[in-house]
Amino acid sequence: MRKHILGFALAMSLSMNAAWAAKVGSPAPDFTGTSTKGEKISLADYKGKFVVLEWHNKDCPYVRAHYDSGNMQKLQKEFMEKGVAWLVINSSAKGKQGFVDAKGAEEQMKKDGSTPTAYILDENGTIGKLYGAQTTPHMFIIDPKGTLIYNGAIDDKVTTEKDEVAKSNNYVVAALNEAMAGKAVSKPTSRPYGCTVKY
Amino acid sequence: MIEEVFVTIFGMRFVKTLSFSLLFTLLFGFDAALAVRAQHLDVDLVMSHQTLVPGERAHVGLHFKLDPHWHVYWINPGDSGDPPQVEWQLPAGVKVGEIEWPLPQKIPVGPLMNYGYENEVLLPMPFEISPEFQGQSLKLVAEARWLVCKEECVPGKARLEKIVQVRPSGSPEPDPKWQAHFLAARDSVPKLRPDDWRLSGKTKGESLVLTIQAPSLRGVSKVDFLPSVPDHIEHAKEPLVKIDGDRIEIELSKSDRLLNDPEALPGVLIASFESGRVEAYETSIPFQVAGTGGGLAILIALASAFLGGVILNLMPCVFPVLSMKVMSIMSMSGMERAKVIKHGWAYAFGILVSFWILAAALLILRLTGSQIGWGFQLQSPQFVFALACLLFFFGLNLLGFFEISGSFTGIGSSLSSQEGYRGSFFTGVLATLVATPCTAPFMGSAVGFALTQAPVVAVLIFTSLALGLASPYIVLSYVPSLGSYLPRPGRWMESFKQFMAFLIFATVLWLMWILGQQTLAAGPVYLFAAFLVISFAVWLSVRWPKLAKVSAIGGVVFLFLIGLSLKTVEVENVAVSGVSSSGKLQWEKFSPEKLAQYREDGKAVFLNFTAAWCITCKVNEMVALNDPDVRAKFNDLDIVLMKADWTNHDPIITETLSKFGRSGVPFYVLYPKDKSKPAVEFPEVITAGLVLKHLSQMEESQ
Repeated sequence: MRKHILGFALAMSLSMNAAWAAKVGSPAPDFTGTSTKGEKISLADYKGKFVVLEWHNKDCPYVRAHYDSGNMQKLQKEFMEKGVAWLVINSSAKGKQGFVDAKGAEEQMKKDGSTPTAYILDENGTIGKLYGAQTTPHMFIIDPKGTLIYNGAIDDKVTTEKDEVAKSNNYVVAALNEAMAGKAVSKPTSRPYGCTVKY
Repeated sequence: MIEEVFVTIFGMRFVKTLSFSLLFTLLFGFDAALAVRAQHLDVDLVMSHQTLVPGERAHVGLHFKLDPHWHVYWINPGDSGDPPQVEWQLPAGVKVGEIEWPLPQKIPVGPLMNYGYENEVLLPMPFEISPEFQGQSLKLVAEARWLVCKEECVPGKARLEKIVQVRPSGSPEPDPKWQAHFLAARDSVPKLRPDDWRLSGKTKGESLVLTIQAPSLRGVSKVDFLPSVPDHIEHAKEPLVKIDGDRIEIELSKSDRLLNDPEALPGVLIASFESGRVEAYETSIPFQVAGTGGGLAILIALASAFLGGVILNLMPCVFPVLSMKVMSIMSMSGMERAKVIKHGWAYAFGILVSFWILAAALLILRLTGSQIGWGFQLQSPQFVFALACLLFFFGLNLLGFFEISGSFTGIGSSLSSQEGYRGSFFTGVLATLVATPCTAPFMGSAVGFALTQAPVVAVLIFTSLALGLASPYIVLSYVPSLGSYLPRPGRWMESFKQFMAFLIFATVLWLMWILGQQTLAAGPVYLFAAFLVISFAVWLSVRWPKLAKVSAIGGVVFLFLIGLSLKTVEVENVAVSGVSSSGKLQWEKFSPEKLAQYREDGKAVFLNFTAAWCITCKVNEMVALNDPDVRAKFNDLDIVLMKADWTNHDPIITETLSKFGRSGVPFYVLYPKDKSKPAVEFPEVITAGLVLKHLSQMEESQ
């Protein structure tokens, strides 16, 4: 019980004080969440690596377009092979669209053939509000020094049709490639599109 | 997965769709609109008129009827979502414009905010059918896409068709079922903000602060601002609003994703009054971009300032001083080169210092909120008076009216003696003073740009302008071979000097005329009194050199008293513009309201920004605007002629100029009949040919 109150207080203070603190060029706010495997996962664990945060809602048609086309799984695989940590975060509240428990998330990943570094369950929305995650898929990239280098949409094609995904210009890919080549990210922000995060 | 949902829901709704259209058919007969049932909404293509006439306008609309608590989005959906889109397949001769977005409602979703429409919405679009259209009917096909959300979102699309009857003449027949809907929808579209609002925005820490001075909003009790672009603000944060009379300050929370300061924030201002009246205005708040103008923009401004300065030498108002300087160079042709060069720089320094003072004055006055611009000092009758006195005195000196007596030093000797470096310096000052009423090509935009920049950049641009003005003399002093083209000094120089005096007197006459415009009859009389004082003081000091100091001080005191008593008088302008029976152009006095009215009425307007002290303006008016062909064309095309007279200080005109990025006159704008078409801006120096060309272009595009 006490633990719950503490956790609630922590979540409140996080969401009140540090809300919308994900500013490109500033240190990315640290967080700790629980993965589908029951592990505690912190951003700090990945210091020295590029980290991608992907906000997820399995029932959001914009997210579906990227999974049904195989695009998201491909990107996860491609960049994890290059040493990037890819964290999928689900901030859907219990009872709302896209909510899954650990088992449901594992099943969904299996079904989609998705293999991220970890899938974090954020049902009380703490991490989502900390980063100001608005939509699914809302994407963030953090560089090895812990600085936020991208905050925005996955690409420039606001679509729910899987066939359209391939025609898009992917901002996350461009930002990762530029940053990994030691260059500045030419488009560090964009309007995140998709479904509202179901806090 | 999603496909499963789609099919089941569609299947479930199928029965309902059938009964719905059955009901429609029963109620409205065969003609009934066939709404398409999609997930969580009905969508429909509707027309304001059931019969169209070629050449007459109408509206077509996308009509959504939503399930309870579901919404579609505004042009800026807010933190998530996507506005509806339409792609058209239209018959030849038919045009459909952009959606005119009705005012949305704020729809909070957890910690986020959306802008959209619940229950029912009609999105109107202007519809045009060409006068050449032939045929009894036309078929519109629209491919509509939307995102409909409650908690979750469902994208939808539909192919919508509509057949409308066309009759060759008469008037279009409104559709009784939809006309009221269209009127209501268009009524809820935010209207353009009144022209007399003064708007500015700035970034302050993590906020965007908008300041709106709006006389029409006096007494407002609640204000909100919805940006029509996403990603600029945190939509969910309530704005902090301060209302002080007609001055409204709105502080919005900046978005994390807004990395650079915006140039402008377009959006809708919603004003709620105690009475319950709510008004929505479409507006765009320009942002001060202090010091953030790109390096290239600054370089271009510096270059055009320099070029403008060079050309300024050839402008009519600088001519008397130009002639003086040429003369002084001729008198120096026997001098050693080092000295000549020093004189050149002393002259340049005089120009530089005066420009710096001018720039400092402009910037300080701007900081204190005055609406001023280039040539502002001539808006003061006192300044014009002082300049006329100075030039009169100088003219007397050139005529040899008095030989400089030992004690009559100060401005007098340094100005009149062509030898001392001080003389060269003050010639530079004088050149700047008389140059200010002129705007040379390239200069207007550079100075306009300077005033929007950080003080350092502004001073740099003014410096560049000064160097441009000084450059011909610097070049002349450095390249002695150029000097050999000038005639040798001799007795003729005395005659030339005396002749120059008459050019100076001509300038004085012109200043007197300006003063007459500013103060009506009183000004010139005061000026004659001043000339009396000056010539008397000069006579006293030449006749009795011991009295020189006393008479100089006494003279200046007298002049000061006369100058102070000058007052500006508002001059009434003619009420109706056009070309009078005598063939003279009649100008109507400019006001933003009247301009808006004429544009609303579909009239073309030619707007002339001018001032009595602006000699470039007068030359333009004489050679270009008063050209018989131009006058005839103005008449033929039934163009409203409006004059914004900036002779005296006028904040409304200054603000209107600044909207075009200008800070001075002359400036000309031609507004075409069609409100949606952009206005044509003219360069500073115009010719009859240029005006005719633009008028013909406008005529053709009508």
